[in-house]
Amino acid sequence: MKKFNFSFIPVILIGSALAQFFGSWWAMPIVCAISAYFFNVKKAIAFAAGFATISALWYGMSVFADTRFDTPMSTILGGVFGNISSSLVYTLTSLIGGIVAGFACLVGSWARHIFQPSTEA
Amino acid sequence: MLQKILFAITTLFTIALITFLNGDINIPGNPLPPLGKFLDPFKGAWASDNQNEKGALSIPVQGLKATVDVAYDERRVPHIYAQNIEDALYVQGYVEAQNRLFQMEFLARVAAGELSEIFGERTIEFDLEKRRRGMRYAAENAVKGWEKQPSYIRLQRYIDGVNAYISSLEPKDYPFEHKLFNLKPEPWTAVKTALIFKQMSLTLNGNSEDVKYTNLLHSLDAQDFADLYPEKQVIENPVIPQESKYQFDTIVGDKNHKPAIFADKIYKSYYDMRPKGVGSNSWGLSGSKTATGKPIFCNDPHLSLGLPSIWIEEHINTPDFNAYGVSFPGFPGIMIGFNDYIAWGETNVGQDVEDLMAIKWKDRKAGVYLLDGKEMKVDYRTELINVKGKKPISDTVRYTHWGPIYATSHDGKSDLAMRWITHDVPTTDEVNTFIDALSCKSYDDYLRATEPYIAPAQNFGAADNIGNIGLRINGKLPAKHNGDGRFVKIGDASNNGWSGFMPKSQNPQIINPKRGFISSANQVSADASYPYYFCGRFERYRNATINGMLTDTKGASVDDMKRMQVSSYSLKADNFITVIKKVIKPENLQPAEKSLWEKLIAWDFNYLASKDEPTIFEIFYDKLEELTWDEITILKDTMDVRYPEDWRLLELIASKPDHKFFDMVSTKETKEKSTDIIAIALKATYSKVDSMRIKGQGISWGKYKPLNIFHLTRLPALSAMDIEANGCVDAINATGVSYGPSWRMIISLEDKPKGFAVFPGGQSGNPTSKYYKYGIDTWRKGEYFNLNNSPTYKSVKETSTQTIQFVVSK
Repeated sequence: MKKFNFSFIPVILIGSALAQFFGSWWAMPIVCAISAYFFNVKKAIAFAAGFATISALWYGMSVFADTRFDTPMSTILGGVFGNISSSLVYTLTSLIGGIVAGFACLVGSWARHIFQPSTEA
Repeated sequence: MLQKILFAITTLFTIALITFLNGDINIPGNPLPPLGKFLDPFKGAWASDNQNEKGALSIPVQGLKATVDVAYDERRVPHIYAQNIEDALYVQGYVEAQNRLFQMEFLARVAAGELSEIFGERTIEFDLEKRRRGMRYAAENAVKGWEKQPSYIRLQRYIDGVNAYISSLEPKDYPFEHKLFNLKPEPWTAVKTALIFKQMSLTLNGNSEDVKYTNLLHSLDAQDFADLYPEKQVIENPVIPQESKYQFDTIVGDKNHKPAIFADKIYKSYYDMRPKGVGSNSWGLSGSKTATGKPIFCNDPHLSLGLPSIWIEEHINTPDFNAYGVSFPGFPGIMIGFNDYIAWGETNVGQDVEDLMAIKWKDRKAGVYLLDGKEMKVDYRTELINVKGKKPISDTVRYTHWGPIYATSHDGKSDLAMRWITHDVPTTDEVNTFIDALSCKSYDDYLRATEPYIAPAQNFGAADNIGNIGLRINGKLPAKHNGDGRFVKIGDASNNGWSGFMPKSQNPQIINPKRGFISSANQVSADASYPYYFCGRFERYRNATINGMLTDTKGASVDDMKRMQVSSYSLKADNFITVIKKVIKPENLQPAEKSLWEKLIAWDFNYLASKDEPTIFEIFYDKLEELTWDEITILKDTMDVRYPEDWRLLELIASKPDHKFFDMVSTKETKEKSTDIIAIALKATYSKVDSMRIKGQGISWGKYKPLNIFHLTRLPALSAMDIEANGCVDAINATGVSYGPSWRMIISLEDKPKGFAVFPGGQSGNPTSKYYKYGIDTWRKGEYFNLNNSPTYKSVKETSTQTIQFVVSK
């Protein structure tokens, strides 16, 4: 069995960050799907790695961004979303990024299995 | 094969998930933002930081004549140093958009009736009312007039500045609310500026009580109606003091002509566009009454207290003037402020400038109406309302000789057209009013600068450091026949309309009155000798309080004026308790009620947030009104009516204790007098107060009626809620539950004028900025900021929090 290529994680982390910096947020799942296709990752691992990496990216970015406000954005968003705590707002942010990234990686990896079965991991 | 099917399903699901998170999520009544796009840490809400309120920027501008420097101070007030007025207005537009873009766009939408595009179905009725009222029609008419005036080029420079800021924005820079509601900033236009001004006209002059009075006229005995709703109130403190009799002929032709009144009740509810609490105070003292020997000018407009504030504070300096004050974001110039020579401000004129006319249709098709015996066709204007998550709604509004058909009835017999001064095409250079005010050097200059002003009509007051104080009722006011406009009129004869407009030379005004002060607080404009008919809603207590205080004032200082401006004394409460004290016998009261009564008579009538007495009085007064006017409350179930004025209730308690309206409808066997009603009201008050205590609710005034300063969208997370503030609508400090002193300003007109002011909000529209709610606590405590109107950029720059240099670009 082919080993998991750990460079997949920094590739989707940096690739997604650059894609979102220069483009729309939905460029992130495109980067994830393409990376998963070329890295030839197992489906379950692709989902888990995509979810974990982008969750961490979005969580970290939102916590970092929050330090720049006079009134924390997480406090305001917590109020807008029905008086939830700041940590729940960070979690909600990371979950949304993570789920989208997870499914995108899953699709990329699955596509590789279907269209290039001979190279299946 | 199964793998391929599952793959296809997963792929489609992923695409659907991304699409879902990128678009509006429509939960009926509570639309959510596109969560993926909104929570994207790179461009969504997390990127809406307040870093753009720091640092130094340099912005090249085509069409600029010279460099303009801007320095934001420690409260984020922009200090604009330009070399000419056009460049100054360009930068004013830029900085207003920089700080308040969402507010500007939102207010234009409110005025135009375009909220359903943001909020979905729940605001359709609100939008329809604005369309039927012809708000956009009014704004388009305004621009038609403005385009012909010399100052239009100045307005264009302001608009260019707003648009320069908008076009500089990347999606990550959009205001927080734009991201929350998935909106993209759109170019600013003259119509949007006009819409904002028309919205202010609606707040201040959208005042139709015609339907209420018509219903009362046809529901009560003629004698009762005249008794409870006297057409003329006793005029005690007109805006313009009676120093001599008015002696001129009006332009009203046949003075005995009585416009025909609609002969039936109107079973339909209307919006009451002017909530209780909208108004203003303004006064000016001549040097003979001040410690410095120079005039002091004060103004505090009572408008909706919101976040961001309705006002934006600005300092504009050019070689021609050095002006400081506040403006509505979206409108050029300074509306209330001062420069090195004069201070100026406004309060609202309560004159009724909105009449409703019942249309006589030719037939049931309701497309042709009768006017002076002729058949007239309506003009149709189709209004399209975009509704978030739904198909657009179309409404066709019919326009008549009088104006739009505002309200329709099932049989067309009480279809009402609106004749509203706000719809008229302006024929003067009204936009220039608040631009020319910037460079006035004397009260005479100010009179000239404000001559073109049209609507909403205002009491324009000013003082200069030559020593003059003056006040003029300013705006386009209809010349009315006696009684005209109090009731819905019949719209089939043109002489049922107004007789034209009062020439400005006949508007009441005064310069340097003998009494040594000018003052206005929305009361009747002139004394009984004034030849024109006045009707409308006029204030009764604040103005009397102010005039009483100013009459006794000698050697006044700025601190005296600060104390006066935040006074929470209610003359209404004082008058009621004083009169009731004379008519009731405390020994006849039960012990519980007696204890309340003793609390009230020991009270100093100040509405302090920490005190219980204001709460007790308010509950008692509401009960007293409800019990006395129970006959009118019954009518409220089927039609729009209103209670008599509170001063009329006071008069009846004082002079007619047996008046038939004190007898309660629900007690057929007994006949109550005013003293019985007072005792019942006290008992009910005790019961309510006691139950509040048992439930653990605070009964202090601040807890009972806390002030809520709502964000434009009324989202609590962006608002300042439950503020325990002193004041009430009848006090000089007219703080209500959501209205109140929106800008307290005091200017000492010394050789170099000194300014002090505060408003309950902050300069920034960004909810995460420290400048968003900056002034609220200072305002609540009745404190002021010293206004820095330094004529030199260098001194302001030294302590600035951000600088922007606009440089000429070829």
